[in-house]
Amino acid sequence: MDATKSLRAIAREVLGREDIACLIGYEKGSYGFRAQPCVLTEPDQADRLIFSPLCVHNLTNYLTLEQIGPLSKADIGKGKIAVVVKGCDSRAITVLCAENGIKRENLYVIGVHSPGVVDLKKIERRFPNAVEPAEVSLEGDSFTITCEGETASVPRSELVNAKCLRCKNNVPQGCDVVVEGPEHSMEDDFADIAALEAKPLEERAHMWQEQFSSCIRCYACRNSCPLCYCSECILDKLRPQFVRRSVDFPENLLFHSARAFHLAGRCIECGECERVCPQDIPLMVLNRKLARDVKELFGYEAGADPEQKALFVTFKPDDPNEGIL
Amino acid sequence: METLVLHKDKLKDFLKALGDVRLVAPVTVAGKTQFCEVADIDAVELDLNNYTATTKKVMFPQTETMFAFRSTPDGVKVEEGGPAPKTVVFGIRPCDARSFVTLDPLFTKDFNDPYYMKRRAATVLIGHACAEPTNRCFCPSVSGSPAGTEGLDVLLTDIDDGFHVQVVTDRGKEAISGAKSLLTKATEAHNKQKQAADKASAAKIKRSVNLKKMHEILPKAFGLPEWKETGSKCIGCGICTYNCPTCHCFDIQDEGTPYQGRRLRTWDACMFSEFTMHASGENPRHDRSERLRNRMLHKFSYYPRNLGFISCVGCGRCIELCPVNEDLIQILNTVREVCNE
Ligand code: SF4
Ligand code: SF4
Ligand code: SF4
Ligand code: SF4
Ligand code: SF4
Repeated sequence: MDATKSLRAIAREVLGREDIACLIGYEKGSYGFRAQPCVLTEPDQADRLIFSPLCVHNLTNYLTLEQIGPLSKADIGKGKIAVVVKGCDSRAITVLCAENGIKRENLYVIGVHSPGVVDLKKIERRFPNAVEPAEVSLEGDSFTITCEGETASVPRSELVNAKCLRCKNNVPQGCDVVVEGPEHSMEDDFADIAALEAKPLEERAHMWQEQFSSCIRCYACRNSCPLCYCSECILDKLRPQFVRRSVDFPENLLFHSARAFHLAGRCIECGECERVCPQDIPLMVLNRKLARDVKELFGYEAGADPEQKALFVTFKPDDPNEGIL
Repeated sequence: METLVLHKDKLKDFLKALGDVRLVAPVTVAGKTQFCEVADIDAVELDLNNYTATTKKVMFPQTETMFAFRSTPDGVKVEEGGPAPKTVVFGIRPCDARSFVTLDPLFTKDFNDPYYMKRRAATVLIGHACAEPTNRCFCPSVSGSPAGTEGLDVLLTDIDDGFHVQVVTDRGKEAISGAKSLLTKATEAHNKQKQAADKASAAKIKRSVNLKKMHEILPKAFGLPEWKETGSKCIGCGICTYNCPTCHCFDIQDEGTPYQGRRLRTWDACMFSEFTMHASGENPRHDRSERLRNRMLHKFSYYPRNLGFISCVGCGRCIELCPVNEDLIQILNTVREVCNE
């Protein structure tokens, strides 16, 4: 609740400023455990904002779109866009700025120390069919959940999103203002990736064959990703057509390879792609395999350092590896 | 028509007794429930829970070859797809069955779509009434019901010892004729249990939307500034359309080389920006909010006015699966409120 209160106060001030065009934050959702993104333009809308473990979305995804709230293409750039970010989300801004995808001076970044966000699928399985808007907050090591008039306490580890259990740093970086709260930082040993790699090749091949075959190519993973923002995506191109429209294993494999490789050294592991997938395809396994390889090969972690340059535009003259130079 | 009873231990035998047909039923693939062609009856999920998976693809596959072509020394050879295999869909939800009823006029009114129609004619739908409607379900708001029979050939409803079997059509009767020995006549007591089950499940539906005159209200709401705000949350993916049993837009493409290839149709979605992209590069629905508005107007105004049905069966999948909580109930309620209707 406190984060919500502080956020509203900040928003009221920020939305009153001449140089701010709008603010992207979270508001109460339409039912159950859902929160929804919102775009505010007036100070008196500030009380719509919320912040809680239900604020799962990475709002930086909106920063590169052609329409932001009531602002259409022509209005964007006329004022700064304020955006609410968690630790992971803030790393997407780092990467976007390093790539010149957005200009930092056009943003007003409001960071929140997130206590971790819930895994919506898990919480909805645990508390099925909630219609009345539910509330979730972190108290100690447990989530306090108020749902359909009843209150329950569930250990955080049981309902929190997997990404939060290995969160490198929940303190958002490079912000203009921060709503403080508990801090945490975990080591990530990529044990999940090592465990998968230890499985026989046939087993892994079978797993991906099944998973990719069940993809319906709705492209929600691409559209929800803050770092998939090419204005013309190769997946949509018709002339030449890189990936065919037919939805089957070979084309889906091509699509998934393209998506994953285009995010190598760029993915900041916000987990949005996997969260939104209607087919529950474990996209984070692919992302994390590449993230681990990038870390091992180049000692680079996407978005980890606010000053960092984009991986694929940097080279070291004293690079010990063989390379193209 | 007839009402029968199937003991729950006999469900597998019942499926086997459907005979030599392509059986499509809920199975677990890659960790999720999907409607798939079943090779092994033991794989069918019999604790029929209320799944998200849609059955649209049974009549309207996501990728469909219309014909294949090949150039030969004797000229171009064209091969069309064969007839649709005899199919039984088992365990389909009443809303999904109804979706085909709403799709029929689209695929038959101006032109008989041979691909859809051949499958429709070859497919029998055995439904399963919903004992546990979810928080996304609102079928009664669009004239449906968790025990609705519209579009179904047979409807199964959970009762004490198994299933109440309601034969809805002659096709249904014919399809289950091989299972006669497994079925007994429903008694008065069975029918009472069925009625009680229907009542109990209807009472579990908690969401609703008032659609009175919505087809007239929506066009009036076309220019409202609210669309910009609601619609701009949308990230323009294909989730709501691809998972919707009544969404039906498709694209036609050629794949292959000029010497050999195929013409196919694939699902398309009005929520994608390229959907309305003109060859000139101009896009009349440039913003995501314009595309979301179109989806609402199409379903609740254009389609009912042109084809006589609301193009929504209240399954709520678009609501459950939308990554950013675009909720058509909330959207339509706002529209009604703002228009003061
Ligand atoms: S979100 Fe899932 S189903 Fe959709 S394209 Fe991505 S992987 Fe495929
Ligand atoms: S690929 Fe997935 S986890 Fe990585 S930045 Fe994009 S949405 Fe986030
Ligand atoms: S409404 Fe939701 S599901 Fe539909 S395109 Fe927009 S974001 Fe995707
Ligand atoms: S519009 Fe939504 S609720 Fe209606 S039929 Fe389609 S997916 Fe179901
Ligand atoms: S919308 Fe109605 S018919 Fe469809 S699954 Fe829900 S309760 Fe069943």
